[in-house]
Amino acid sequence: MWVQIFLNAFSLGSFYALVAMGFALIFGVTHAFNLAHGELVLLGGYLAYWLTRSFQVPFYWTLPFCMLALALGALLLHLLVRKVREPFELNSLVLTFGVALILQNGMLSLFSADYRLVPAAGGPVKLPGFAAYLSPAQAWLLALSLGATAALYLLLKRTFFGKALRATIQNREAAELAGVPIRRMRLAAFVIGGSLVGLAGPLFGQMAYLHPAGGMEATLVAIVVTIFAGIGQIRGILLGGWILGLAETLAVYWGGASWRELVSGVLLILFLLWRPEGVLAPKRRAVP
Amino acid sequence: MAPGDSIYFRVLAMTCLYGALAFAWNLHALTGVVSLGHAAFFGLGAYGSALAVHYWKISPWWGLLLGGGAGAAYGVAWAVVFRNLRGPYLALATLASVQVPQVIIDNWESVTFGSLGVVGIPALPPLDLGPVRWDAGEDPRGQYYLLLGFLLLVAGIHRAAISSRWGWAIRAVREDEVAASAIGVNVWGARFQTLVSSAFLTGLCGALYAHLIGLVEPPLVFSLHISAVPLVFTIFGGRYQAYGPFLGALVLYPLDQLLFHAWLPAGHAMVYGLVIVVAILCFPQGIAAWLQERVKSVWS
Amino acid sequence: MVAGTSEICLELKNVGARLGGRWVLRSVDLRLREREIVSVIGPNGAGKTTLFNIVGGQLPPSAGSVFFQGREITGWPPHLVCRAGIARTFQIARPFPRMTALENVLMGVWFGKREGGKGREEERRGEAFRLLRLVGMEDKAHRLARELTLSELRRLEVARALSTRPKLLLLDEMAAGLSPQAVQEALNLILDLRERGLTLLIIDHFLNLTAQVSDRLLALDQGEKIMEGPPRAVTQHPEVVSAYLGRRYREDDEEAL
Repeated sequence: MWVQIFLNAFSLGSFYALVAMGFALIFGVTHAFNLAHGELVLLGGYLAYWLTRSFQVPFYWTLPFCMLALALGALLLHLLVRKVREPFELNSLVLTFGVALILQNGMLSLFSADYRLVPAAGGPVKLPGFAAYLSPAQAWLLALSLGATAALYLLLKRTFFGKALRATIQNREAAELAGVPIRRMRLAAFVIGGSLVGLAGPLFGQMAYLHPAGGMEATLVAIVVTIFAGIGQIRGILLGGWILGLAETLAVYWGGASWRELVSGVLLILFLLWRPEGVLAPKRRAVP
Repeated sequence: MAPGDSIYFRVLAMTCLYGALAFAWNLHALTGVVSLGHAAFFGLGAYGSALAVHYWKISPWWGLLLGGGAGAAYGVAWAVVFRNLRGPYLALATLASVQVPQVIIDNWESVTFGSLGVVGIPALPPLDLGPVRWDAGEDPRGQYYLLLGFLLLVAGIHRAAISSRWGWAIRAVREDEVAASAIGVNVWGARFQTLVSSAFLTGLCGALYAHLIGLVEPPLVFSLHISAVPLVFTIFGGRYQAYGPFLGALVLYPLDQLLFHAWLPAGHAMVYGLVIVVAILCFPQGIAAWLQERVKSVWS
Repeated sequence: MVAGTSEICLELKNVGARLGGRWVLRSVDLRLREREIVSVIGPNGAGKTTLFNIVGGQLPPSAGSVFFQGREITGWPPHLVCRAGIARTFQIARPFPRMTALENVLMGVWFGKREGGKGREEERRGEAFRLLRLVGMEDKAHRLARELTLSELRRLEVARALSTRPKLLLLDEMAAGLSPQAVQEALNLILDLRERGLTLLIIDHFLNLTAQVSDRLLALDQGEKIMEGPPRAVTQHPEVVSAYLGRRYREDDEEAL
């Protein structure tokens, strides 16, 4: 039984990590707080729902389609965020808050507040040797999250482009002086982040019920995990996602389903108070 | 009073309530912070009053004060716990902090009726003021006058927070809090006062809402919409003008209720998001201030 | 040089400051007499601004205590330190950007002392104007602070600090980036302020500058006091010289002699 709990926790955590990765990349490169992040995930989910419902598109085809669509969406968002004035971080937060409201209400009028679910693809997978099952959604989640994390890791560490991205994350001015095309990096961050969101959306729709009010919650999750991992740290995101998934699953097991939302909120506040630059981030040297 | 009039009184009444909500929010924002979590105070005020009246059988008028007090108490918690946070980190913390009262109230069914909400909240009983009998409970006109009076009260406090000596201290904190404290302004005191009074007044708004509508439930009174609305109205009307927040309420709320509601019954609140986006990008001083400048330049 | 009277204005006893796990200031003792002018010198990172932050209340000391006119003010918040009679300027000027120069100074008049709230508006404005005139800024009184030049901002900082009627004035980096004429005016102002009864503690990277007006120099390096005494003795002390010259890898090599 504990195996099942851990299985649930890790697949949930992998999903959280996937959601957070896009946010972390965008925030690391551009320092924009994207409060509309969760709504974009939901948008991906609704898109997949629409495709499978209206056009009978098989589930695995919705993934590339949503990735493309959301990358485009993120691009549009980037065009808006670019124009924000100082103080950039706060204003980008308020701006994307407005975008979140627009998206949330847009989805409300298009899909209504009814709960919707993307149909499952395939049957449950039994874990050999244990009395535990992975639902098809969970199987997809684990596979894709791990795959996406690995791909992102390889991109950042092994390619020249990835190096440029990392340089931008660590020190934007220095990277600019070294000749890194910052504007292109920002664009790339939004596009890659958007495709990660497009990957997460359909998975979300399969695993949990889609409803327009769920966006903010997903955004908070992304922020909690990002802050935990520290700005620019990708490895920590998977770990952070798993820890959050574990914390929430245990909270549900002990207290009941409705306490789940409180976990991410309280954790976020604790992280903001304790180590806003990142729980796992290396200790910064004090500047006298 | 003709039956058709009551809808206008209701819209006016709610405009006043939302205007007061915007003034109360801006009271806190004047110190240079953005709160995305004022729904916490609103919801605590609504529930505080509803539950106090339900369990202790007190008059709703006392319930209002208790609701304000509940909001203020949470405001004190913010002031202490978030005292070192600024900018986007503070905004995120305020956003996350709505979860705490919301989830607790949602789950504590034995006391708060959980997700069912509190129904049958009594309306405000009529007041006997000498020769006049003021029915603010059922009569839309009475409600309107009550909320108008409340609006004027909050507007007065807001104005003091801009034009008085206190207002200049707040402005100094907003412009540069390190410099402000170095020349003798009690920064912590100014931030505490504005936050707690903002929380109290927002809680009062929530309590008034509860007694006017008659029912509260967690997703209603702790919603993102409640947190967003004062932000939108203030950004629209002007953040640093004495009338700014109310101008936003006066223009946007009736527009939303009477116009957009008809076009998009489900997603009409989208217009608020649009206002935020347009204002942040094009009119940092407030759309109203921009309009003022244009009108001035056209006239001269 | 006019020797101060025997009253101790400011006293630091074994003051230390710890930031992020590192001691940036350690065992600093200092005694300032009334109407003394003392300059704190040292290379970048020596702890000079940290010292100011401790005296000004922006940073509570991790060790030791601070006394002002006989009263302990250790750990007092900045606004109480200001009302007690200590004012400071900042290395990078911090005006209220959207207020005019006059309003900036007016804020100090209004809030710098407890009785600033009483009295009439005209008196306050008059005092603010007088202070602007003292630093030569009266014709810029109605300019927004964010439109002022660097040298004007520095002068505004001084005027605003003086508006709180301090007994002790901490001047952080007054002279960097100023023309020689402006520097001379600044020196004259410092001496003038001492005549009016102020005690001054100054940070300046330019040794030649502060040595001219100071009664004493206090040299810091890596958070510790390495030397204190008359200007000539300190600037020629071998340890002080090597502290400056030895720091070739620091960005601001301009202060190397």
